[in-house]
Amino acid sequence: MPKVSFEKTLERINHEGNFEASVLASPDGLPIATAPSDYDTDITAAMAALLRSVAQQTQDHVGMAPLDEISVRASDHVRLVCRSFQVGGEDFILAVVVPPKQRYYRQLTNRAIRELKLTWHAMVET
Amino acid sequence: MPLEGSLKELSLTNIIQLNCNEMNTATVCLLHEGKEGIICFAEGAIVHGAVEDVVGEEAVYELLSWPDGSFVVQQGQEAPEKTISSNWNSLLLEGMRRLDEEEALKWESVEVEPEAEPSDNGDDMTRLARELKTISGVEGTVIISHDGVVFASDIAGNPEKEGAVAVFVGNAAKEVGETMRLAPFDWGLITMGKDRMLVIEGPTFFVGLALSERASPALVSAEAGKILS
Repeated sequence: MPKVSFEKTLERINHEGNFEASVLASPDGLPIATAPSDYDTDITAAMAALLRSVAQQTQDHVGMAPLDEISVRASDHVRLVCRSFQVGGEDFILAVVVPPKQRYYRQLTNRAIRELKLTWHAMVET
Repeated sequence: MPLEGSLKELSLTNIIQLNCNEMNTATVCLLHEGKEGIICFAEGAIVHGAVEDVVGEEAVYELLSWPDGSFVVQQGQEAPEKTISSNWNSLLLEGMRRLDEEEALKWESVEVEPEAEPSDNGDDMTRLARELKTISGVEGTVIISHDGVVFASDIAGNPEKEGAVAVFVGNAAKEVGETMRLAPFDWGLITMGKDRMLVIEGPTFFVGLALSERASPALVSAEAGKILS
């Protein structure tokens, strides 16, 4: 039941970080798993993929180090954070919408990425 | 089933990027103030554009300038003819450059009084870049127009490359904020290995600030905002 496990991870970080949305998406913008949210998760996944794609093109053009995170903060301090990671040769994006005054998203998303990787490996091995 | 929507909710730039990144074959029909236009994609490339009597690249540039209107995306529908062979990235960059040029002209006609003495804009920008670099946690600065012309920089490495990062991230951040109906774009941050760049929008340019490892983007952004205002 990998999808259920993915969603559990996303629900947990939403709860612990008071995130307004969490989406695991493919590089082409398709949501793989989502936690319940008021945001349109299809749009969030597509926008996360767009940001990643832009960053990837930038990286290709200017030859910088691999992308780790790209985030956008709105003037009301709501922040869309996109973490890019790879497991088993596949690329994924974890996108979270962080509310104002919530500064500590990095540890939570690090832990979530570790869990998502473990879930992926478990899925591949079964 | 066709995808329909408003250009205010999903801009044409986004529609192009999504269809090209997903290697789609599709036709997008657009309507704005009674004018109709189309853009056709074939396996992720833009192959045709038309608006009234204009076809090809010029039609795409005109369609990119529509600030609102509606669109319908027909997936799988092939182009009636091939009038474009340029890369879609180049088309978007040229479209953005033309929009910036038009905006700059409007800005000049409104803001610049005829009798005003010409200011040394380059020196102003250089001073601004140096001032921004005095912010705690900032290791380098680049000031760049929306279409990628470096106005001034005080940064290690290649300012053109660092500026390109600022432009790509700044433009994408604006698009994402508008599409997700977030409040107006405040800043964007890109982390690549140990390098972090904070991107802020000025009145007619983007500012890229290379951050030190321990710098807080929020604090740096607040300080930069004071200098830019």
